[in-house]
Amino acid sequence: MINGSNTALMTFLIYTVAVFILAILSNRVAKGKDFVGEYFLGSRSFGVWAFALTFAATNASGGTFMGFPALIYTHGWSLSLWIAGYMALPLVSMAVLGKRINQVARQSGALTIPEVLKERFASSITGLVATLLLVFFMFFYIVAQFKAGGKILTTLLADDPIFQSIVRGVETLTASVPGLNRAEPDYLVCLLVFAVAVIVYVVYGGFRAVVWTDVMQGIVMFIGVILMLGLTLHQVGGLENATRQMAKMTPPEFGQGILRLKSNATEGVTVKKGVWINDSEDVVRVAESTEILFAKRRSDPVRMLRLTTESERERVRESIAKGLVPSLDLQVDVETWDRYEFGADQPGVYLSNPGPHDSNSIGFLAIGSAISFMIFWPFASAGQPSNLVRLLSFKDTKTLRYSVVTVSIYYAVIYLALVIVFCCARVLMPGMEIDPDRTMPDLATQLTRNAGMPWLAGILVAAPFAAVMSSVDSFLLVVSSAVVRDFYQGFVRKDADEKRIKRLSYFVTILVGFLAMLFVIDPPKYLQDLIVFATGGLAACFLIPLTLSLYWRRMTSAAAISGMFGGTLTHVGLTAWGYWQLGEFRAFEFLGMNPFIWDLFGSAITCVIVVAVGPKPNKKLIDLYFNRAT
Amino acid sequence: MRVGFFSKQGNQGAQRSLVDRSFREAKWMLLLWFVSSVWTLGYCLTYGYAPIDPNDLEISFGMPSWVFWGVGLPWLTTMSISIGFALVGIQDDDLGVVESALDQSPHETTSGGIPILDVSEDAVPSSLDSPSDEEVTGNQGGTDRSSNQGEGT
Repeated sequence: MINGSNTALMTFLIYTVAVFILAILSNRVAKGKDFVGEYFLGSRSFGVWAFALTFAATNASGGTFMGFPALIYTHGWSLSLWIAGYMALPLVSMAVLGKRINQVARQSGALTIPEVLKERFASSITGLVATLLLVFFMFFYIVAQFKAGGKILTTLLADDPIFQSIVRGVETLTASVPGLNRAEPDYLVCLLVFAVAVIVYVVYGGFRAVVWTDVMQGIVMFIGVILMLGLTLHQVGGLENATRQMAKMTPPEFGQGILRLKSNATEGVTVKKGVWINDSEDVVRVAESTEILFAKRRSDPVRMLRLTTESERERVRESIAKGLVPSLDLQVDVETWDRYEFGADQPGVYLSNPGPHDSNSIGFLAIGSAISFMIFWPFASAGQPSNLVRLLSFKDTKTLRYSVVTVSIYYAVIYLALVIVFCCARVLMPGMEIDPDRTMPDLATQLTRNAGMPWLAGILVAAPFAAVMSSVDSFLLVVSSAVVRDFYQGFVRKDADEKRIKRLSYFVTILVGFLAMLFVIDPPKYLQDLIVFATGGLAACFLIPLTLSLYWRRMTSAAAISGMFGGTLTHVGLTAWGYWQLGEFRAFEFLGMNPFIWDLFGSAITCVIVVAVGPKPNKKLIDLYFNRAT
Repeated sequence: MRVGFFSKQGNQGAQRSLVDRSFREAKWMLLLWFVSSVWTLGYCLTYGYAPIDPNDLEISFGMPSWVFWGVGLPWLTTMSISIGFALVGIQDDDLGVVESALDQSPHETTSGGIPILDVSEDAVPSSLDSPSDEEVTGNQGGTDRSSNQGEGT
């Protein structure tokens, strides 16, 4: 029988084989070419499709297909405004710097972003500072994406019997191994499989394999989203119907309570997470697994969700009657239900801003946040080294122009479609608030099952794999290139031969991947906050100094270094302020604005002041990089 | 070579350096981002934050009206303008040849003959002439036409 979970396993296997085939082909193409240029930049030879899709896929991480759908489901149409900054992202993040940075990199032979800065100012210190800051922030990124990869795979394979037997075997093996025995065995298996797969194809195929797999991944994501859009709109009865139903919805309530066996029960039961209980007037969903022993007749306290909208209750009752969702006949005993801080009992709250929120009394998207995200998305993307390094790899300006066209259409379709699909998912699948990250795989399984095509779930669930893999591989190479090219070749062994560099590149890629995997075996508590910290930190560090270096003749290395530290210190300072104020690892939002705005401001002010009072730029460098006729 | 729609035509336009053309194009792109942001934020902050009455819904193309007019339409418009700009607004430029030092140590890639320094430019060796204050000031912002005088205008 084909079901969602073994389809996911088959998909993952087919997908992994395809990735390895691409890595082997890349390795063959690379033979006979200069190793460093090929391994880290694909010999700067990529055309429209390769460049456009690698850019698009790298930007769309696991968050696009797991976190973003979860946010849409939880907060409704306000996510359309939250993501609206993407409308100008292709032009801003690709074309504002693209032509110029590619030219400077060609002119200087630079292969990495720190190297571009170093060559632009003929200053090794500038390169070293950029390398150290890049490796520092980037490592958090890789660690987070490895965790996301392991989690996604765990979610998708959860019910597969083959997978479960492997998990039991690993659990036995690791039970007495310190460190490993603290990790969930299913997560451990998935993390190991994911990490080995990514490291092997990156090491074997280098940048070219990464780009080719990104192209495949980009296509998989696009097809997956289009299929989901069609199936969703068909099954929900049209977008207008979904919107009208959403307008009646009020947010659910959460509570901690006890489940009891009814008087006619003859045995105890295992209550799995996600099971529905139709208890007189209430429809309740269990948010964590528990056991009810017959002798005890009641469970330990367990977290539950209660639907508050009659149309949702009716839909679930119908599904229970048809046997489409798991359910149990139990008695629910909850003293108090916790209401949303914003939006409770307010029909229409899913259709307007700021959107409902369970713990924030001003809602999901305050006005200051909406303004901030219009700035954050395009400019934070423009400042990410994993995106910037791709701007060094296109072969000519025609490729850049047509890639902007491709990515503009790609993002408009993907993001607008995702908002529509997961707003409709609110209507099709009530109660996903117990585990919002499962919204995407669960919707894929439900849509294809209802359409009588369960095999199609494979293509849909491949999208999150694709998104995470395409981000991990890029980050892995960016960090490896920084260590090998910028640090080792720049400072340790300037005359290293190709054979040594080749071996070292492979070794560093494996080492970085292995270290990242070790870090997330027992992920730190604040990992998600560290991702936000790293994203903002990278853009705050690089965007302004790099932009001024490319376009401002008076820019100096001292200003570039100061700008990198200015952005970084503002970022760290606001984060420390946030920790002091809120007691959480979260940056303080001064005047209600995203800290990224203040980081850019700090970086820009520092650059301008140092240019004004610092050393003068070198005229030969200005002539070389600004006054050469083209 | 294809000349961008927004680039100045004739001899002057053809002889501008890539950096000036690129900077000029960047300004148009940032203007597009700014206008699309003003449209989106202006419309959504005005109409998208009002409470919605489920019995009196304003729907456009199946979605709440503020989503269509404040996000959907500006997104499609920005996408169309981005495509148009990429096709006719950005000029094709010769990006130059890749330096043969690709496989050399970064220290050996010499910025077109200028040796890499281990300190910032304020300690530039005497062989590298620092510009006078006037020379540097004259090039502020990277858009001053006088910076391209050496290109044979």
